[in-house]
Amino acid sequence: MSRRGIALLVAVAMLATLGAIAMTAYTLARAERQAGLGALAEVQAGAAAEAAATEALAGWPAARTPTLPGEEALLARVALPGPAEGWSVVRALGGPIFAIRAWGVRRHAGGAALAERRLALLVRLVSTPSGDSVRPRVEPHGWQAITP
Amino acid sequence: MSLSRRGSGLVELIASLSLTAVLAVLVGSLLKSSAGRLRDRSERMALEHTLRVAVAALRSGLESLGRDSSGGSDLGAIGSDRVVVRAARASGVACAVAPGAITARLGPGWWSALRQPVAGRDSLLVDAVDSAGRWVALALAAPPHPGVCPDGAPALVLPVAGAPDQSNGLGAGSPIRIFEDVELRLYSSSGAAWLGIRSLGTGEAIQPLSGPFAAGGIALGFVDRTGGVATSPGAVVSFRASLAAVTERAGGVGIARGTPAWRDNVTVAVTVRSPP
Repeated sequence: MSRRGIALLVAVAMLATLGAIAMTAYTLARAERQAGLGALAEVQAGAAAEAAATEALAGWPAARTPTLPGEEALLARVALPGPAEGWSVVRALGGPIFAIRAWGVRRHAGGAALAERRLALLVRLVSTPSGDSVRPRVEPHGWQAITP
Repeated sequence: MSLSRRGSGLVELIASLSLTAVLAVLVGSLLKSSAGRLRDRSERMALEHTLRVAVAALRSGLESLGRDSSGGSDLGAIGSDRVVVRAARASGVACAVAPGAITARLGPGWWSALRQPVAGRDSLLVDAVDSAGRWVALALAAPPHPGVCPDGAPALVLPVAGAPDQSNGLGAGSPIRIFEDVELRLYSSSGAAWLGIRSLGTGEAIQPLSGPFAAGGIALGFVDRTGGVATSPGAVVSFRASLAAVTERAGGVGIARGTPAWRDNVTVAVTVRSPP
């Protein structure tokens, strides 16, 4: 009777210890996987933002350029595998310098955002020879990554 | 009858003790190996985290660096294991410029800051609106205070040393960068190497940012426009960082004592976004 009780207690204690170790290992592995997926999602979101900014740097029709301080105009939208999406706008700052702001979002298959990246470029606008479109020229010190 | 029972009881006792001993050894070794693997796994996760933090810090600190003829380079000094940079702390847009003060417009899309600007610690770079590519460097002379723009919008008044006025080419619409000079470098502490950061304006002691790293575990290389080794900060167009991190095993406690530390390496190459 006494020996059976000790064996049961020892067995339960060992199973509990092994169970705790297994649960901790599972939790660690899950956290490591999520950290890896998060890092990948951030890279994809950054690539989407940069793609949208690059599209904007190709220029746009002069009539679309905002004039009032704070006014914005959508310039580009991109979709990348992942799925990730990016978009960019040009924002008037009240002088000859404008800001191109770009966002990139890597979404879960269900639509929820897994990671987001934002960046901004300070530019001056140069008219094309025909005068109907403008091309932005990036200012020195003009690139800025913005943490969401 | 009674003799037979005593003999049978002794044999049972010896057998059960032997089985218990064998089981105890098996379970002990299982627990030891499981705990050791668990500890190694968690240490390797910490190792990867160390490398991620270091790469992110170097990338965010160096990627956005720029240079112009007036404001100079955002890169102050370069070395094989250290770099001094202008680290952005806030950015905004001026709505008014007067002698001794620049008024920055507040609100979403206008002002973003990691923290409030601090006089004596932070400085300003303000882009001239009258000519392309000319930034004016100014010291923040006093704590900022609330104000209003000429159109009545809320603003932050930044007192600056010197006399910035319209003749400097600054005016409404001038972008503002608030920055402080910081040093990133490898340093030794408690027998390990760490990536540390410190503000040069306050003279504070270096603080650990990421680690531990192997001795000499951070190697920085700077490249100029021709692809050669950049000899001055203003000539840098890209950089390469090689990092060698090790796991932290302080004390070697627990039943997994004695397992050798893990080591991992990563090399990252980043092109400066606003090169000279």
